Amino acid sequence: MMKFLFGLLFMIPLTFLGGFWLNQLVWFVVSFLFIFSFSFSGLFSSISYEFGGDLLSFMMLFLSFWICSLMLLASEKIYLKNSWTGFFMFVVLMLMLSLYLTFSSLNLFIFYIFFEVSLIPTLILIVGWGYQPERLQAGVYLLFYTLLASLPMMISLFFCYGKFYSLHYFYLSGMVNSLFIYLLVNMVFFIKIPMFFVHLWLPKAHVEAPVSGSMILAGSMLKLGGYGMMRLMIMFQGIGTLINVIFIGLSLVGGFYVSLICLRQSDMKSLIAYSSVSHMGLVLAGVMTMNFWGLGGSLTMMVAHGLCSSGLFCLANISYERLHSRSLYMNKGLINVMPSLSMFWFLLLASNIAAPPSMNLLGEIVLINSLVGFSELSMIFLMLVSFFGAVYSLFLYSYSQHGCLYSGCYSYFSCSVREFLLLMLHWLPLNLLVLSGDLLVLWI
Amino acid sequence: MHICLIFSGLFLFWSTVFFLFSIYFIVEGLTWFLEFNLLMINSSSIVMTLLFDWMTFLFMSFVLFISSMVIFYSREYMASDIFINRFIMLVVMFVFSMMFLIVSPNLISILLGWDGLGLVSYCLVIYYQNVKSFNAGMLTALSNRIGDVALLMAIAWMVNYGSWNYVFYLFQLKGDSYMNVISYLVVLAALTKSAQIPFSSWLPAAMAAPTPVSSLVHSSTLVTAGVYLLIRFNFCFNEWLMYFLLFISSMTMFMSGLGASFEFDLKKIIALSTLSQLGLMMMILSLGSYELAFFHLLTHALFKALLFMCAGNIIHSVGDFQDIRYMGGLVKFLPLTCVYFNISNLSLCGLPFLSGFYSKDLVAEIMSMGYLSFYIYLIFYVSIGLTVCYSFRLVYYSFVGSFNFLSLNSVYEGSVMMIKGMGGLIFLVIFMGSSLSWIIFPYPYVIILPLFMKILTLLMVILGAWIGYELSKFFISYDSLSLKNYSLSWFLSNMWNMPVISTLGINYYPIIGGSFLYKSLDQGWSEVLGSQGIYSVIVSGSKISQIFMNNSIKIFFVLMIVWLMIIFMI
Amino acid sequence: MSLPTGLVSHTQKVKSLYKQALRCLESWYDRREVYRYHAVLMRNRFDLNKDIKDMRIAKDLIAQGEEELFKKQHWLPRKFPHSPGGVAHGREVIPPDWVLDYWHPLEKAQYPEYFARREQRKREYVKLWEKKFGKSEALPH
Repeated sequence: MMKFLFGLLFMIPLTFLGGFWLNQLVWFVVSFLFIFSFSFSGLFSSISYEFGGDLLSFMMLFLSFWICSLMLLASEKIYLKNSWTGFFMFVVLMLMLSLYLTFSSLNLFIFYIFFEVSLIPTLILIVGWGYQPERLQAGVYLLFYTLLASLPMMISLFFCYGKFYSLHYFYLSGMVNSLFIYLLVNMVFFIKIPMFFVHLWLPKAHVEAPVSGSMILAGSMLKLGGYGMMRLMIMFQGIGTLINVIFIGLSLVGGFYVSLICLRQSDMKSLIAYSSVSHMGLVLAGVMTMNFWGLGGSLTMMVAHGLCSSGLFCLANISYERLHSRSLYMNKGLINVMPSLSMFWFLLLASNIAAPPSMNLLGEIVLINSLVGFSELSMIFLMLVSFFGAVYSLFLYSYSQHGCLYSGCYSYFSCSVREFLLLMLHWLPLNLLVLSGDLLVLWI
Repeated sequence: MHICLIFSGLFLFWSTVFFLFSIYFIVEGLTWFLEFNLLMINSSSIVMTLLFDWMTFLFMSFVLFISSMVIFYSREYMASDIFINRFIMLVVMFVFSMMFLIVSPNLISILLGWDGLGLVSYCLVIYYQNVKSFNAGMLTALSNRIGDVALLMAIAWMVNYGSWNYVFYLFQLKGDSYMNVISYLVVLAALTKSAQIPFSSWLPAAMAAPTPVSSLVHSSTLVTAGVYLLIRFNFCFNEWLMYFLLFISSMTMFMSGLGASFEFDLKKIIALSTLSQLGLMMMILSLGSYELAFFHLLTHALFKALLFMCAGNIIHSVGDFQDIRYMGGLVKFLPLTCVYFNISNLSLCGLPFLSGFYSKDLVAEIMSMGYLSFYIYLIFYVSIGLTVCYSFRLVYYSFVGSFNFLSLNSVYEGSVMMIKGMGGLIFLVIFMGSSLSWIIFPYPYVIILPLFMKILTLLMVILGAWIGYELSKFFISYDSLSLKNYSLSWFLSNMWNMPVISTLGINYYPIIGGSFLYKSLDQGWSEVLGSQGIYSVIVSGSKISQIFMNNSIKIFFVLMIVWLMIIFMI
Repeated sequence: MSLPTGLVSHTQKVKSLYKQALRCLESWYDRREVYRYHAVLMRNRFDLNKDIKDMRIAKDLIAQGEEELFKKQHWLPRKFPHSPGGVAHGREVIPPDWVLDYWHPLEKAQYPEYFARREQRKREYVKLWEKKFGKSEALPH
């Protein structure tokens, strides 16, 4: 674990001195080095200095590395306009560093600290490279929604320390049968994932963020919530069996409501952001069932969603760079000018509605199994979520791709190979990793 | 080489190979079963299963043959389209999905084909860029999505058995309560895919797709996927479900037969006739003869594909006109197309010794032998009569009589490629019924019926032909009976109002609800009780404290005194 | 769809109603000879009222006529396929011409003659423009 940490630290000079594409290359090299050091055992491995990881951490880290590499690939515009390229890459690196420490730490307190730290580079990304003045409000939303719930969590961590005399994950297996502590610890994860009712920061942040910010938000930051809950749910086995059902209900109903809200969005990015809320609602419900299928399915869904919605944000950005609007009323009939890009729209949106052979389907199947096993009543809202997932995805596809071209559009440029590569690198793992689905369920 | 020729040749080759395989498998009584293990969760494994028996091979060979002909045909039909490559690739993707659907006897791996069919058919329906196809595509995809969701739920129930290879469980667990739920969900899925009654409206709407697509996708393959799934699944249905299916399918058959008699769009008439044939297949399936349903599925695929290709040729040569009121007397201009059209139409009607006769007549006679109720008997025979009725009406409208098209036209039979593509199917339409009945059934069915019931089919056919002829004639139009019975004819021609119900009736509430939720919950209460609420509380709080800070020094003095008093009093 | 942008005179309303009535008859009576017969009857119904001078009665008649037209509309009106409402209307979107300028050089290289000609035409057009309106000032970006 340390080697990658130091590797990342020594990349700091490279961000300012090396060029954009060199950094890009190094990011891919680091990603692949990380994949090669993948431990398939399902046990905690590579342990050193309170850091280490099992398959859960490795999958999350792989996702973060991959998304960070693709972030640079997606933000060529920053390089071309030379708007603080070096600083941008430094921020990305800091983000990755904090995510790395968050996902690979074995200690709850280190997890907590870097969980908080990862907010700051994201904030800088949004406020620094966002497009509109509203980005300040979005940044405040992002920061304070999390902070509001995370400081109580810190206090409850001290309580846990007093109870278990350690904050190592291994020692957290005792019971904490307090509703108060349950809420204090989990509320930050609910906000991060985000659960319905506390999701307001997410569409705002996504709409205002530059493409790289949206990608990392959808790709890794939301997964922090799921990751934390998977790690800590073991503490709440007693109280969880009593009150988890409330949150399962809330997230399933919320998933359905958010799908309906998606139908009324005219901003592409906002639509994709709301669709992530809907999908992460399923993940939350899956973790809350606290059964084998639920946890496995949640991890699968998180990885799948990370790749899929990050790819969709890239697509929205590609349209945005050409038409300078994310409005669905302006992005019309793109299939007539960029048919190949339209194919990628379709492929990624098909993955978004859990079409085979994507990992979303695997995740959805496993999650549906766990939730229907939890209660048959959840079938109703699972069906609605799944159905309306298709509705808004097809709505997005056909509205943006089908029909006449927007008649106020007078110039355009074709899609570059870089952009196709970017989309392919999202789509390929999404649909190939399903062949080794074992990786995603064996960690429990 | 042109992309059409490549895939057409390839598919033709594989079709032949699969046909030979199927004969070999019938003769030897073989079944091959391949499994690829993808993922193991505890003890239940998600596998990619491939089942090869004569049924899959025969179905695959038919699908490949039809698609080979259709792709060959599209070379000319779509020749002027700049996106023909995309079109052909989509059709090929569709064929692949169909293959995956046919060979998978596993609820999870069948999703690969099932969802693939839905998505690719969506792309094909919205291939044209007009608003009609936009709406039709949405209706198609979402109706099919209901079936996908039903299958996903069936998967969740199937996990109780530890495996999704349903073929192993159908016989043993019939009547099991879990199996009942699974069978209900599977029937729901099949109803959506085969466009049975509550979901019928997508099939005529999907005619907005290019005609080769209608020919391959919406007549012979995609819509039969539901029937095929039920053929595989029918062993576990309980009696109630069979009755339900019987009722639904008979109503579908009747409804579409009536609807087609009032329809004026050439393609929609054929689509409605497809719907009525699907009802027929479902009906015989729910009476327990799944082999007959399969037999009719195959023959129907042949003549319906040819029928659509002929319609496409007509539409192509009259310049995108689809309204049969503009046609008439076309036999003088398109003689060969007319011959093909009539042969497949008569085959559809069940004229003796064409391919439709063998399956349809058998279905009718098995139906009569297992006499169930007068309602079913009546509906079935009336629907058979209606089939003939609308077919004859169509023929008399478009091919016979006065020439109603524009006077400036270039209607002639010049599309050689299309004629050739159609010519590939015509022999099968004529011969395949008899040969299939010799191949599939090890021994002929024994039919024992009284003379009247035996010839009732023929009577209904003749009666239907007569009514169809009358419908197309002068005096019907002279006094416009449909204008006199205005609301009835609207009701019947609009498929019992189903298109209205399944578009406006369904999407009204989600959209209104979405707006309500967005305004009042998402941008409303969540903000008020969440961030904006906290913000305003903090702002007003700090405003209050600002009053104290605001230079009124007396308040400070008063406060100091108050504090001192408190301290002293304590 | 269409906003009322101008005044519609009474004559125009009658004409429009007459035309729509004929179109409606056309979709109900699909044999040409029958249609002609009914069209004559329809013409007669209009002709009977052509001399009405009282605008209140005339307006009322138009309202009645429009209501009758609405009540007798066909479920599948006869439309020409390429006109609005027809089956083939707007099937193919012709991409605007400027799309060609944004082709990739490799794509353009597949049609060298066409693009050479296109560039030449562009230069000629610029020359023509400058001759007519003078040189354009420096662009802001």
